[in-house]
Amino acid sequence: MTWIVDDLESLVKFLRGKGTVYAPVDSGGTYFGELAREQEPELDGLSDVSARHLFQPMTHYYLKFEDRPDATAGFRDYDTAPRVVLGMRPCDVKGLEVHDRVFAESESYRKLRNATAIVGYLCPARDPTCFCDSVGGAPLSREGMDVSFYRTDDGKFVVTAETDRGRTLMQDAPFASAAQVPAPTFVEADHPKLETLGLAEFLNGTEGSDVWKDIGFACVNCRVCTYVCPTCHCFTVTDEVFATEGGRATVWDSCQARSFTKEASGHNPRAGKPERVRQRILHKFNYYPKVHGALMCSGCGRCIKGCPTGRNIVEELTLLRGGARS
Amino acid sequence: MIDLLKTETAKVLDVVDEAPGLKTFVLEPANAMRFSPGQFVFVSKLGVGESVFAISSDPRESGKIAVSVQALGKNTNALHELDPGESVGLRGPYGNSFPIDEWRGKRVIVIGGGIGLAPLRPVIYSLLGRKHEFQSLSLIYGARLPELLVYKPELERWKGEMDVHLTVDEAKDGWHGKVGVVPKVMTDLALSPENAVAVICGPPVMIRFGHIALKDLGFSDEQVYTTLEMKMKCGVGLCGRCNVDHRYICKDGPVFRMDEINHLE
Repeated sequence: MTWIVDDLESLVKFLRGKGTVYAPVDSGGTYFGELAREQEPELDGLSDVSARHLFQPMTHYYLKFEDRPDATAGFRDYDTAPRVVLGMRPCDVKGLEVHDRVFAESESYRKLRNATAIVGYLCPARDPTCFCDSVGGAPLSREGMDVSFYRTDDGKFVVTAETDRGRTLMQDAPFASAAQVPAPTFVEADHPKLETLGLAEFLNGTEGSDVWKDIGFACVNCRVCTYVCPTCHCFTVTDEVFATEGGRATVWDSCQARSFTKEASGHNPRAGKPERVRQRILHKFNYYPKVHGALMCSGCGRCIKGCPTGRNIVEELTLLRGGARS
Repeated sequence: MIDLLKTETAKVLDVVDEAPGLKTFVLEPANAMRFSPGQFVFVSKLGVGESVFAISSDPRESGKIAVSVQALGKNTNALHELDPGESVGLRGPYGNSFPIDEWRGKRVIVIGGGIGLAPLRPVIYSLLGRKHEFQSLSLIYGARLPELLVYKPELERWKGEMDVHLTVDEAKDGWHGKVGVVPKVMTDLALSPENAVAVICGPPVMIRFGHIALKDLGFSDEQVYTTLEMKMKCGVGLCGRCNVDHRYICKDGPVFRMDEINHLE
């Protein structure tokens, strides 16, 4: 089922009746936030941060106590009120496949996921750092979206229900249904290209390569690459106590942090930058593929755009391949 | 993933001083916990934190488990304050276990260093409980100093039940056992690889040189088992830090046969 919607405002207004709407919002940078009244989603360009936090909260106190640390703390699950996430790009949706696989055994994750309808936005133009088509995605892919939409040349929106959840979401849509619609268009531009054929297998022999030193050289341990990524999912578990409350929380963590693997004894198996940059790249392109048969990268390019020292994972993988071959 | 981190409670039944800075806590889980030798648990105090420990008690004892805790950081120092009767958070057991059934009919040599004996104690209890199924049972155990040897009453008892060799790096007055690091004792004893299985756990350096000693003695990697340790936060293969290559020590381990991991650093 496909509809033509005259303006974004009408679509948003309709979706607000289905649950809390999250969409890219401008806050200096763009991220997926709860869309305030009268607020317009920011659909131009890829958001600076992925929608990961909507499926894996940055901080979630799953045990919480008031007053005294020894009070009996109950388990606090995620808030699973109905939500609509509007404006996720094909790469964001593909990134979510990783969370679906990794957290498959978690009932809490499944409930959160099932409470969420994804209204994905097909990419109108190439972002200078994105490369989804190198890693199995496509800018106009509707895979994983409950509802897809795109903008036509005359500024209208073509909205299509793609799944059962999407059809349920849209069942009382007050929009004109359309049999004939213009095809989505995509404006191509220069962008990174990654040769992935045989890449995971090739990386098997690179653990001891000196190239990791070159790759790690420019890293300043800021961890941005892992925090903007739609496929990263590592976390820590921490206990915190504040003036009147406290508890135990899961909090996003990063393999690029020195403390990530540092043990109480002081021993740290990934004490240096070469070991840490290797962990991130091999997790995505070798370890994860060995377990799940897919790459752990959706090609959004946010890690390239966000790196303060200009590191580029596509160049690094290319260097690794070339460097280790010679 | 938060539902996979739910914590149960346990009551502290007993606290045993093992060595300076090292105590064993005997816990009674609110919900009965069955485990196999090699598995581990998370013990916590809410508001302080969770830490991971190998289970060091006899798997045949129902209704209680023990962990041996070295006071090193915030959590472990807080645990050392616990008295019998107090309550702690407990979740697990996690991880795989030693394939003791596969060792039937063989000569089993257990090799430990320092607190590395903790995950091996359930193995020894299990082996002794079905002693007749094995050709022979030996223990080679060492620590830096005599006072750092753990489970002293058990060590004395085991001397009557299996072949026990104790050693320290540095002897002191009153020490009548061997002197020298564990790999040296292994070499001096000229351990035979014939129909043997070696199980080794201790500090990383001891495992490394112990493994070399075993190789020199003619042991193949298929005959050597170890249990690995790394910082862990979730215990269920999700938090992303305890991997060696694509394997998560918490989920695919912590017990490995050497041929499964010897190509890794």
